[in-house]
Amino acid sequence: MMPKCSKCNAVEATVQILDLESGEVTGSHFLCDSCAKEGNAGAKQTAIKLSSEILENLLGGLGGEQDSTAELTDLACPGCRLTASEFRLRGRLGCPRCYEVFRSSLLPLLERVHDATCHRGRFPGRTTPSTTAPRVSLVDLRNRLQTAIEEERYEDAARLRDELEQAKQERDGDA
Amino acid sequence: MHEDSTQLGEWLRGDGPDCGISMCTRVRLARNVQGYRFAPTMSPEEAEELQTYLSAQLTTEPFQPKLQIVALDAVEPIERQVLIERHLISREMANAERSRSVAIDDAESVSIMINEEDHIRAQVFRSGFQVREAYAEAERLDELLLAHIPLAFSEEFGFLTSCPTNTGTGLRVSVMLHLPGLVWADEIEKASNTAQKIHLAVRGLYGEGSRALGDFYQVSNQVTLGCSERRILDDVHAAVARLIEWEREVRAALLDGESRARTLDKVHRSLGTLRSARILSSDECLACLSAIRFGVEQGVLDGLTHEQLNRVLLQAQPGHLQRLANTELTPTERDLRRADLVRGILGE
Repeated sequence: MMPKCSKCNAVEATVQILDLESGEVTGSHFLCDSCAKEGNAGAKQTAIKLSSEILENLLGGLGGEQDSTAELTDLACPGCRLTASEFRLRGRLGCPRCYEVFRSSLLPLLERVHDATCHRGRFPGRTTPSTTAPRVSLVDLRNRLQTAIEEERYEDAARLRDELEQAKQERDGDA
Repeated sequence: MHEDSTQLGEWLRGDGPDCGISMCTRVRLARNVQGYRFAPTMSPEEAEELQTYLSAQLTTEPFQPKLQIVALDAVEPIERQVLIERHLISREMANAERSRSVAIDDAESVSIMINEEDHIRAQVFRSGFQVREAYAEAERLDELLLAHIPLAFSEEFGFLTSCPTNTGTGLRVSVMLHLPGLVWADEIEKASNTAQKIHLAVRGLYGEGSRALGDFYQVSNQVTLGCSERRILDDVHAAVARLIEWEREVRAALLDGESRARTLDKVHRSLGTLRSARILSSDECLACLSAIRFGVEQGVLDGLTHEQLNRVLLQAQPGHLQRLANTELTPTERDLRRADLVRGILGE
Protein backbone atom coordinates (compact mmCIF):
# COMPACT_ATOMS: atom_id res chain seq x y z
CA MET A 1 0.00 0.00 0.00
CA MET A 2 1.24 3.48 -0.98
CA PRO A 3 1.86 6.19 1.66
CA LYS A 4 -0.22 9.41 1.74
CA CYS A 5 0.51 12.17 -0.77
CA SER A 6 3.52 14.09 0.51
CA LYS A 7 2.12 17.37 -0.86
CA CYS A 8 -1.56 17.53 0.24
CA ASN A 9 -1.21 14.81 2.85
CA ALA A 10 -4.96 14.14 2.34
CA VAL A 11 -5.27 11.11 0.04
CA GLU A 12 -3.25 8.04 -0.78
CA ALA A 13 -0.40 8.65 -3.23
CA THR A 14 -0.64 7.02 -6.66
CA VAL A 15 2.65 8.21 -8.18
CA GLN A 16 6.23 7.91 -6.91
CA ILE A 17 8.60 10.56 -8.23
CA LEU A 18 12.27 9.69 -8.12
CA ASP A 19 14.91 12.43 -8.10
CA LEU A 20 17.70 11.48 -10.42
CA GLU A 21 21.11 13.01 -10.60
CA SER A 22 23.62 11.60 -13.01
CA GLY A 23 21.66 8.40 -13.13
CA GLU A 24 21.67 8.01 -9.32
CA VAL A 25 18.45 8.09 -7.31
CA THR A 26 18.98 10.89 -4.80
CA GLY A 27 15.47 11.08 -3.32
CA SER A 28 11.79 10.22 -3.79
CA HIS A 29 8.34 11.82 -3.37
CA PHE A 30 4.90 10.27 -3.28
CA LEU A 31 2.07 12.25 -4.90
CA CYS A 32 -1.65 11.77 -5.47
CA ASP A 33 -3.12 12.08 -8.97
CA SER A 34 -4.28 15.69 -8.67
CA CYS A 35 -1.05 16.96 -7.08
CA ALA A 36 1.00 15.12 -9.67
CA LYS A 37 -0.97 16.80 -12.50
CA GLU A 38 -0.74 20.18 -10.80
CA GLY A 39 3.01 19.88 -10.41
CA ASN A 40 3.34 18.62 -13.97
CA ALA A 41 4.99 15.52 -12.65
CA GLY A 42 4.52 11.97 -13.83
CA ALA A 43 5.27 9.66 -16.63
CA LYS A 44 4.08 11.97 -19.41
CA GLN A 45 6.22 14.80 -18.23
CA THR A 46 9.21 12.53 -17.97
CA ALA A 47 8.64 11.29 -21.47
CA ILE A 48 8.44 14.81 -22.84
CA LYS A 49 11.48 15.84 -20.87
CA LEU A 50 13.42 12.87 -22.22
CA SER A 51 12.39 13.63 -25.76
CA SER A 52 13.49 17.20 -25.54
CA GLU A 53 16.76 16.10 -24.02
CA ILE A 54 17.32 13.74 -26.93
CA LEU A 55 16.34 16.49 -29.32
CA GLU A 56 18.70 18.88 -27.62
CA ASN A 57 21.46 16.36 -27.95
CA LEU A 58 20.66 15.86 -31.60
CA LEU A 59 20.34 19.54 -32.25
CA GLY A 60 23.51 20.15 -30.30
CA GLY A 61 25.44 18.82 -33.25
CA LEU A 62 23.25 20.55 -35.77
CA GLY A 63 23.19 23.71 -33.70
CA GLY A 64 26.95 23.80 -33.78
CA GLU A 65 26.86 23.36 -37.51
CA GLN A 66 24.24 26.08 -37.84
CA ASP A 67 26.36 28.40 -35.76
CA SER A 68 29.42 27.83 -37.89
CA THR A 69 27.22 28.12 -40.99
CA ALA A 70 25.94 31.44 -39.69
CA GLU A 71 29.52 32.56 -39.23
CA LEU A 72 30.38 31.40 -42.70
CA THR A 73 27.40 33.18 -44.22
CA ASP A 74 29.11 36.44 -43.48
CA LEU A 75 32.49 35.12 -44.46
CA ALA A 76 33.71 36.22 -47.87
CA CYS A 77 36.83 35.01 -49.62
CA PRO A 78 39.42 37.82 -49.62
CA GLY A 79 40.54 36.68 -53.07
CA CYS A 80 37.25 36.97 -54.94
CA ARG A 81 34.62 38.13 -52.40
CA LEU A 82 32.56 34.98 -52.92
CA THR A 83 30.48 34.37 -49.77
CA ALA A 84 29.88 31.01 -48.15
CA SER A 85 26.17 31.18 -48.95
CA GLU A 86 26.91 31.82 -52.62
CA PHE A 87 29.26 28.85 -52.62
CA ARG A 88 26.63 26.61 -51.08
CA LEU A 89 23.99 27.87 -53.50
CA ARG A 90 25.96 27.30 -56.69
CA GLY A 91 28.48 24.66 -55.63
CA ARG A 92 31.18 26.57 -57.50
CA LEU A 93 34.22 28.22 -55.97
CA GLY A 94 35.31 31.70 -56.99
CA CYS A 95 39.10 31.47 -56.97
CA PRO A 96 41.94 29.19 -55.78
CA ARG A 97 41.95 30.86 -52.34
CA CYS A 98 38.33 29.75 -51.75
CA TYR A 99 39.64 26.23 -51.16
CA GLU A 100 41.30 27.38 -47.92
CA VAL A 101 38.61 29.89 -46.91
CA PHE A 102 35.69 27.46 -47.26
CA ARG A 103 37.70 24.38 -46.34
CA SER A 104 35.30 23.25 -43.58
CA SER A 105 32.24 23.32 -45.88
CA LEU A 106 34.25 21.84 -48.71
CA LEU A 107 35.54 18.71 -46.95
CA PRO A 108 32.13 17.00 -46.46
CA LEU A 109 31.23 17.91 -50.05
CA LEU A 110 34.44 16.35 -51.41
CA GLU A 111 33.86 13.29 -49.27
CA ARG A 112 30.40 12.84 -50.78
CA VAL A 113 31.48 13.42 -54.37
CA HIS A 114 34.86 11.69 -54.45
CA ASP A 115 34.82 9.48 -51.36
CA ALA A 116 38.11 11.22 -50.54
CA THR A 117 39.30 14.64 -49.43
CA CYS A 118 42.95 14.67 -50.43
CA HIS A 119 44.84 14.67 -53.73
CA ARG A 120 46.82 11.55 -54.60
CA GLY A 121 47.57 12.20 -58.24
CA ARG A 122 50.48 13.93 -59.90
CA PHE A 123 52.40 16.78 -58.30
CA PRO A 124 53.89 19.47 -60.51
CA GLY A 125 57.64 19.14 -60.67
CA ARG A 126 57.75 15.51 -59.62
CA THR A 127 58.42 13.13 -62.44
CA THR A 128 56.73 10.02 -61.07
CA PRO A 129 54.20 11.47 -58.66
CA SER A 130 51.90 8.50 -58.31
CA THR A 131 54.59 6.27 -56.90
CA THR A 132 56.28 8.86 -54.71
CA ALA A 133 53.01 9.95 -53.09
CA PRO A 134 52.35 8.16 -49.80
CA ARG A 135 50.34 4.99 -50.21
CA VAL A 136 47.72 6.25 -47.82
CA SER A 137 47.47 9.90 -46.94
CA LEU A 138 47.18 10.56 -43.21
CA VAL A 139 45.67 13.99 -43.89
CA ASP A 140 43.03 12.42 -46.06
CA LEU A 141 42.16 9.78 -43.49
CA ARG A 142 41.99 12.34 -40.66
CA ASN A 143 39.73 14.58 -42.74
CA ARG A 144 37.45 11.69 -43.62
CA LEU A 145 37.32 10.44 -40.04
CA GLN A 146 36.38 13.92 -38.83
CA THR A 147 33.61 14.18 -41.42
CA ALA A 148 32.27 10.72 -40.60
CA ILE A 149 32.06 11.63 -36.89
CA GLU A 150 30.37 14.94 -37.66
CA GLU A 151 27.82 13.20 -39.86
CA GLU A 152 27.33 10.46 -37.23
CA ARG A 153 28.34 7.72 -39.64
CA TYR A 154 29.85 5.69 -36.84
CA GLU A 155 30.51 2.49 -38.79
CA ASP A 156 32.51 4.46 -41.35
CA ALA A 157 34.25 6.32 -38.52
CA ALA A 158 35.32 3.07 -36.86
CA ARG A 159 36.66 1.73 -40.15
CA LEU A 160 38.51 4.98 -40.89
CA ARG A 161 39.98 5.07 -37.37
CA ASP A 162 41.39 1.57 -37.95
CA GLU A 163 42.72 2.59 -41.37
CA LEU A 164 44.35 5.66 -39.82
CA GLU A 165 46.03 3.55 -37.13
CA GLN A 166 47.21 1.10 -39.75
CA ALA A 167 48.57 3.92 -41.91
CA LYS A 168 50.44 5.42 -38.95
CA GLN A 169 51.99 2.04 -38.16
CA GLU A 170 52.99 1.59 -41.80
CA ARG A 171 54.54 5.05 -41.87
CA ASP A 172 56.44 4.45 -38.63
CA GLY A 173 57.46 1.01 -39.84
CA ASP A 174 58.74 2.44 -43.11
CA ALA A 175 60.62 5.25 -41.38
CA MET B 1 40.52 26.95 -89.30
CA HIS B 2 37.77 24.63 -90.49
CA GLU B 3 37.52 26.34 -93.83
CA ASP B 4 36.63 22.84 -94.89
CA SER B 5 33.93 21.70 -92.51
CA THR B 6 33.70 18.43 -94.44
CA GLN B 7 37.09 17.32 -93.10
CA LEU B 8 36.72 14.52 -90.54
CA GLY B 9 38.44 15.31 -87.25
CA GLU B 10 40.38 12.84 -85.13
CA TRP B 11 37.23 11.62 -83.36
CA LEU B 12 35.71 10.47 -86.66
CA ARG B 13 38.88 9.21 -88.32
CA GLY B 14 37.58 5.71 -87.74
CA ASP B 15 40.86 3.82 -87.84
CA GLY B 16 41.81 3.38 -84.18
CA PRO B 17 41.78 0.09 -82.24
CA ASP B 18 38.30 -1.34 -81.55
CA CYS B 19 36.80 1.59 -83.44
CA GLY B 20 33.89 -0.55 -84.62
CA ILE B 21 32.36 -0.08 -81.17
CA SER B 22 34.58 2.52 -79.53
CA MET B 23 34.55 5.53 -81.85
CA CYS B 24 36.92 7.74 -79.95
CA THR B 25 38.77 8.30 -76.69
CA ARG B 26 38.96 11.75 -75.12
CA VAL B 27 41.12 12.84 -72.20
CA ARG B 28 40.49 16.22 -70.61
CA LEU B 29 42.55 18.10 -68.02
CA ALA B 30 41.09 21.04 -66.08
CA ARG B 31 43.66 23.65 -65.02
CA ASN B 32 43.52 27.18 -63.65
CA VAL B 33 46.00 30.03 -63.54
CA GLN B 34 47.24 31.39 -60.22
CA GLY B 35 46.18 34.90 -59.30
CA TYR B 36 42.94 35.02 -61.27
CA ARG B 37 39.37 34.36 -60.24
CA PHE B 38 37.82 31.27 -61.81
CA ALA B 39 36.25 31.96 -65.20
CA PRO B 40 32.55 32.15 -64.18
CA THR B 41 33.27 34.90 -61.59
CA MET B 42 35.76 36.93 -63.62
CA SER B 43 35.19 40.54 -64.58
CA PRO B 44 35.09 41.14 -68.35
CA GLU B 45 38.50 42.88 -68.18
CA GLU B 46 40.04 40.03 -66.22
CA ALA B 47 38.67 37.45 -68.70
CA GLU B 48 39.98 39.47 -71.64
CA GLU B 49 43.42 39.83 -70.05
CA LEU B 50 43.73 36.13 -69.27
CA GLN B 51 42.41 35.11 -72.66
CA THR B 52 45.04 37.26 -74.37
CA TYR B 53 47.81 35.95 -72.11
CA LEU B 54 46.90 32.26 -72.55
CA SER B 55 46.34 32.57 -76.30
CA ALA B 56 49.83 34.06 -76.61
CA GLN B 57 51.39 31.32 -74.45
CA LEU B 58 49.71 28.46 -76.32
CA THR B 59 50.95 29.67 -79.69
CA THR B 60 54.61 29.89 -78.62
CA GLU B 61 57.23 27.55 -80.04
CA PRO B 62 57.19 24.83 -77.32
CA PHE B 63 53.56 24.01 -77.92
CA GLN B 64 53.52 21.28 -80.55
CA PRO B 65 51.53 20.31 -82.53
CA LYS B 66 51.08 23.88 -83.62
CA LEU B 67 47.87 25.35 -82.29
CA GLN B 68 45.66 27.91 -83.90
CA ILE B 69 43.45 30.22 -81.81
CA VAL B 70 39.76 30.75 -82.56
CA ALA B 71 38.33 33.66 -80.54
CA LEU B 72 34.70 32.71 -79.97
CA ASP B 73 33.48 36.31 -79.80
CA ALA B 74 34.86 36.94 -83.25
CA VAL B 75 32.95 34.13 -85.00
CA GLU B 76 29.31 33.70 -86.01
CA PRO B 77 26.95 31.52 -83.91
CA ILE B 78 26.93 28.92 -86.72
CA GLU B 79 30.72 28.59 -86.42
CA ARG B 80 30.39 28.01 -82.70
CA GLN B 81 27.75 25.36 -83.38
CA VAL B 82 30.16 23.68 -85.82
CA LEU B 83 32.87 23.64 -83.13
CA ILE B 84 30.44 22.02 -80.65
CA GLU B 85 29.46 19.39 -83.20
CA ARG B 86 33.14 18.61 -83.78
CA HIS B 87 33.57 18.23 -79.97
CA LEU B 88 36.17 21.01 -79.94
CA ILE B 89 34.28 23.26 -77.52
CA SER B 90 31.51 22.63 -74.98
CA ARG B 91 27.97 23.94 -75.31
CA GLU B 92 28.38 25.80 -72.01
CA MET B 93 31.40 27.59 -73.42
CA ALA B 94 29.69 28.46 -76.71
CA ASN B 95 26.87 30.13 -74.80
CA ALA B 96 29.01 31.95 -72.20
CA GLU B 97 29.35 35.71 -72.53
CA ARG B 98 32.88 36.22 -71.23
CA SER B 99 35.93 36.56 -73.47
CA ARG B 100 36.92 33.01 -74.47
CA SER B 101 38.75 31.13 -77.17
CA VAL B 102 39.93 27.70 -78.25
CA ALA B 103 43.33 26.52 -79.46
CA ILE B 104 43.12 23.68 -82.00
CA ASP B 105 45.67 21.72 -84.02
CA ASP B 106 45.16 20.92 -87.71
CA ALA B 107 44.22 17.29 -87.13
CA GLU B 108 41.72 18.30 -84.44
CA SER B 109 43.39 15.86 -82.07
CA VAL B 110 44.03 18.60 -79.48
CA SER B 111 41.70 21.35 -78.36
CA ILE B 112 42.54 23.65 -75.47
CA MET B 113 39.55 25.68 -74.31
CA ILE B 114 40.43 29.02 -72.71
CA ASN B 115 38.01 30.50 -70.16
CA GLU B 116 35.61 27.60 -70.21
CA GLU B 117 34.38 26.80 -66.68
CA ASP B 118 38.10 26.52 -65.87
CA HIS B 119 40.74 28.79 -67.37
CA ILE B 120 42.25 25.87 -69.26
CA ARG B 121 40.52 22.73 -70.40
CA ALA B 122 42.96 20.73 -72.49
CA GLN B 123 41.40 17.92 -74.51
CA VAL B 124 43.17 15.20 -76.45
CA PHE B 125 41.30 12.95 -78.89
CA ARG B 126 42.38 9.57 -80.21
CA SER B 127 40.48 7.49 -82.71
CA GLY B 128 39.13 4.22 -81.24
CA PHE B 129 39.86 2.82 -77.79
CA GLN B 130 43.19 4.38 -76.75
CA VAL B 131 42.90 5.47 -73.14
CA ARG B 132 46.60 5.28 -72.24
CA GLU B 133 47.81 6.77 -75.52
CA ALA B 134 45.43 9.72 -75.23
CA TYR B 135 46.52 10.32 -71.64
CA ALA B 136 50.21 10.17 -72.56
CA GLU B 137 49.64 13.03 -75.01
CA ALA B 138 47.59 14.97 -72.44
CA GLU B 139 50.37 14.52 -69.87
CA ARG B 140 52.91 15.84 -72.36
CA LEU B 141 50.73 18.92 -72.91
CA ASP B 142 50.31 19.28 -69.14
CA GLU B 143 54.10 19.33 -68.70
CA LEU B 144 54.26 22.19 -71.21
CA LEU B 145 51.48 24.06 -69.43
CA LEU B 146 53.23 23.58 -66.07
CA ALA B 147 56.54 24.77 -67.50
CA HIS B 148 55.14 27.95 -69.00
CA ILE B 149 52.07 28.95 -67.02
CA PRO B 150 51.74 29.32 -63.21
CA LEU B 151 48.94 26.88 -62.40
CA ALA B 152 46.81 26.83 -59.24
CA PHE B 153 47.73 23.74 -57.23
CA SER B 154 47.54 22.73 -53.57
CA GLU B 155 49.25 19.78 -51.92
CA GLU B 156 45.98 18.88 -50.20
CA PHE B 157 43.46 19.36 -53.02
CA GLY B 158 45.63 18.98 -56.13
CA PHE B 159 44.81 21.05 -59.20
CA LEU B 160 42.20 23.58 -58.07
CA THR B 161 39.11 23.86 -60.23
CA SER B 162 36.03 26.05 -60.33
CA CYS B 163 33.76 23.13 -59.48
CA PRO B 164 34.88 20.80 -56.66
CA THR B 165 33.73 17.81 -58.72
CA ASN B 166 36.83 18.25 -60.94
CA THR B 167 39.46 19.05 -58.37
CA GLY B 168 42.49 16.83 -57.66
CA THR B 169 43.70 15.38 -60.91
CA GLY B 170 41.29 17.50 -62.99
CA LEU B 171 41.22 14.45 -65.23
CA ARG B 172 38.21 13.23 -67.17
CA VAL B 173 38.67 10.20 -69.42
CA SER B 174 35.75 9.50 -71.79
CA VAL B 175 35.28 6.81 -74.35
CA MET B 176 32.59 7.29 -76.95
CA LEU B 177 30.85 3.99 -77.59
CA HIS B 178 28.35 2.89 -80.22
CA LEU B 179 26.11 0.38 -78.46
CA PRO B 180 23.15 -0.49 -80.72
CA GLY B 181 23.29 -4.14 -79.66
CA LEU B 182 22.79 -3.35 -75.99
CA VAL B 183 20.02 -0.87 -76.84
CA TRP B 184 18.09 -3.25 -79.13
CA ALA B 185 18.48 -6.16 -76.72
CA ASP B 186 17.18 -3.95 -73.89
CA GLU B 187 20.34 -4.41 -71.89
CA ILE B 188 21.60 -0.86 -72.03
CA GLU B 189 20.06 0.11 -68.70
CA LYS B 190 21.69 -2.86 -67.02
CA ALA B 191 25.02 -1.96 -68.61
CA SER B 192 24.63 1.66 -67.61
CA ASN B 193 23.79 0.74 -63.99
CA THR B 194 26.79 -1.57 -63.82
CA ALA B 195 29.06 1.26 -64.94
CA GLN B 196 27.49 3.69 -62.49
CA LYS B 197 28.05 1.29 -59.61
CA ILE B 198 31.78 1.65 -60.11
CA HIS B 199 31.46 5.46 -60.20
CA LEU B 200 31.53 5.86 -63.96
CA ALA B 201 29.15 8.23 -65.71
CA VAL B 202 27.23 7.13 -68.80
CA ARG B 203 26.05 10.03 -70.92
CA GLY B 204 24.87 10.89 -74.41
CA LEU B 205 26.97 11.88 -77.41
CA TYR B 206 27.51 15.47 -76.35
CA GLY B 207 28.23 14.85 -72.69
CA GLU B 208 26.39 16.18 -69.68
CA GLY B 209 22.63 16.43 -70.12
CA SER B 210 22.65 15.22 -73.72
CA ARG B 211 20.55 12.36 -75.06
CA ALA B 212 22.04 9.11 -76.29
CA LEU B 213 21.26 9.86 -79.94
CA GLY B 214 22.11 7.21 -82.51
CA ASP B 215 22.93 4.73 -79.72
CA PHE B 216 26.12 6.62 -78.92
CA TYR B 217 27.19 6.74 -75.29
CA GLN B 218 30.07 8.37 -73.46
CA VAL B 219 31.52 6.50 -70.52
CA SER B 220 33.74 8.53 -68.21
CA ASN B 221 35.15 8.67 -64.69
CA GLN B 222 33.37 10.81 -62.12
CA VAL B 223 35.91 10.74 -59.31
CA THR B 224 38.91 13.00 -59.83
CA LEU B 225 40.21 13.32 -56.26
CA GLY B 226 41.85 10.77 -53.96
CA CYS B 227 43.25 8.46 -56.61
CA SER B 228 46.10 8.56 -59.09
CA GLU B 229 45.74 9.25 -62.80
CA ARG B 230 46.89 5.70 -63.43
CA ARG B 231 44.05 4.31 -61.33
CA ILE B 232 41.46 6.44 -63.16
CA LEU B 233 42.78 5.28 -66.55
CA ASP B 234 42.79 1.64 -65.46
CA ASP B 235 39.23 1.83 -64.10
CA VAL B 236 37.82 3.40 -67.26
CA HIS B 237 39.84 1.04 -69.43
CA ALA B 238 38.61 -2.06 -67.61
CA ALA B 239 34.96 -0.95 -67.64
CA VAL B 240 35.00 -0.01 -71.31
CA ALA B 241 36.75 -3.25 -72.29
CA ARG B 242 33.97 -5.14 -70.52
CA LEU B 243 31.25 -3.05 -72.25
CA ILE B 244 32.84 -3.69 -75.66
CA GLU B 245 32.89 -7.42 -74.95
CA TRP B 246 29.27 -7.32 -73.78
CA GLU B 247 28.20 -5.41 -76.92
CA ARG B 248 29.98 -8.00 -79.10
CA GLU B 249 28.19 -10.89 -77.40
CA VAL B 250 24.81 -9.20 -77.80
CA ARG B 251 25.48 -8.35 -81.45
CA ALA B 252 26.29 -11.97 -82.20
CA ALA B 253 23.06 -13.07 -80.51
CA LEU B 254 21.03 -10.53 -82.50
CA LEU B 255 22.28 -12.11 -85.72
CA ASP B 256 21.64 -15.64 -84.57
CA GLY B 257 18.57 -17.90 -84.72
CA GLU B 258 15.14 -16.27 -84.71
CA SER B 259 16.52 -12.78 -84.04
CA ARG B 260 18.52 -12.71 -87.25
CA ALA B 261 15.68 -11.95 -89.68
CA ARG B 262 14.35 -9.12 -87.52
CA THR B 263 17.81 -7.58 -87.14
CA LEU B 264 18.56 -7.78 -90.86
CA ASP B 265 15.16 -6.26 -91.62
CA LYS B 266 15.92 -3.33 -89.37
CA VAL B 267 19.33 -2.75 -90.96
CA HIS B 268 18.07 -2.87 -94.54
CA ARG B 269 14.95 -0.80 -93.86
CA SER B 270 17.17 1.87 -92.33
CA LEU B 271 19.32 1.98 -95.44
CA GLY B 272 16.15 2.18 -97.53
CA THR B 273 14.96 5.16 -95.50
CA LEU B 274 18.22 7.06 -95.76
CA ARG B 275 18.50 6.40 -99.51
CA SER B 276 14.90 7.40 -100.21
CA ALA B 277 13.77 10.01 -97.70
CA ARG B 278 13.05 13.54 -98.90
CA ILE B 279 12.52 14.90 -95.39
CA LEU B 280 14.82 13.63 -92.66
CA SER B 281 14.85 14.75 -89.03
CA SER B 282 18.04 14.59 -87.03
CA ASP B 283 16.65 11.88 -84.71
CA GLU B 284 15.48 9.66 -87.57
CA CYS B 285 18.76 10.13 -89.40
CA LEU B 286 20.82 9.11 -86.36
CA ALA B 287 18.59 6.10 -85.60
CA CYS B 288 18.89 4.80 -89.19
CA LEU B 289 22.60 5.55 -89.28
CA SER B 290 23.05 3.49 -86.13
CA ALA B 291 21.41 0.45 -87.73
CA ILE B 292 23.50 0.83 -90.88
CA ARG B 293 26.71 1.18 -88.88
CA PHE B 294 25.77 -2.01 -87.08
CA GLY B 295 25.20 -3.75 -90.42
CA VAL B 296 28.55 -2.62 -91.86
CA GLU B 297 30.41 -3.58 -88.67
CA GLN B 298 28.84 -7.03 -88.55
CA GLY B 299 29.46 -7.66 -92.23
CA VAL B 300 25.80 -7.99 -93.20
CA LEU B 301 25.68 -4.84 -95.35
CA ASP B 302 27.96 -4.47 -98.36
CA GLY B 303 28.98 -1.51 -100.44
CA LEU B 304 29.29 1.14 -97.73
CA THR B 305 32.41 2.44 -96.02
CA HIS B 306 33.00 3.80 -92.54
CA GLU B 307 34.16 6.98 -94.13
CA GLN B 308 30.72 7.52 -95.73
CA LEU B 309 28.95 6.81 -92.44
CA ASN B 310 31.20 9.17 -90.48
CA ARG B 311 30.73 11.87 -93.09
CA VAL B 312 26.95 11.62 -92.71
CA LEU B 313 27.23 11.58 -88.92
CA LEU B 314 29.23 14.81 -88.96
CA GLN B 315 27.65 16.77 -91.78
CA ALA B 316 23.99 16.00 -91.10
CA GLN B 317 24.22 17.97 -87.86
CA PRO B 318 22.43 21.36 -87.77
CA GLY B 319 25.57 23.53 -87.55
CA HIS B 320 27.33 21.71 -90.37
CA LEU B 321 24.23 21.80 -92.60
CA GLN B 322 23.96 25.55 -92.12
CA ARG B 323 27.66 26.04 -92.64
CA LEU B 324 27.45 24.12 -95.90
CA ALA B 325 24.42 26.14 -97.02
CA ASN B 326 26.24 29.28 -95.89
CA THR B 327 23.08 30.60 -94.28
CA GLU B 328 20.80 30.10 -91.31
CA LEU B 329 18.16 27.42 -91.90
CA THR B 330 14.85 26.72 -90.15
CA PRO B 331 14.39 23.19 -88.76
CA THR B 332 12.10 22.34 -91.71
CA GLU B 333 14.66 23.57 -94.22
CA ARG B 334 17.34 21.57 -92.42
CA ASP B 335 15.27 18.37 -92.67
CA LEU B 336 15.00 18.83 -96.45
CA ARG B 337 18.70 19.59 -96.83
CA ARG B 338 19.65 16.69 -94.56
CA ALA B 339 17.72 14.24 -96.74
CA ASP B 340 19.48 15.59 -99.85
CA LEU B 341 22.90 15.45 -98.21
CA VAL B 342 22.45 11.88 -96.98
CA ARG B 343 21.24 10.64 -100.37
CA GLY B 344 24.20 12.39 -101.93
CA ILE B 345 26.69 10.60 -99.68
CA LEU B 346 25.07 7.15 -99.46
CA GLY B 347 23.72 7.04 -103.01
CA GLU B 348 20.08 6.55 -104.01
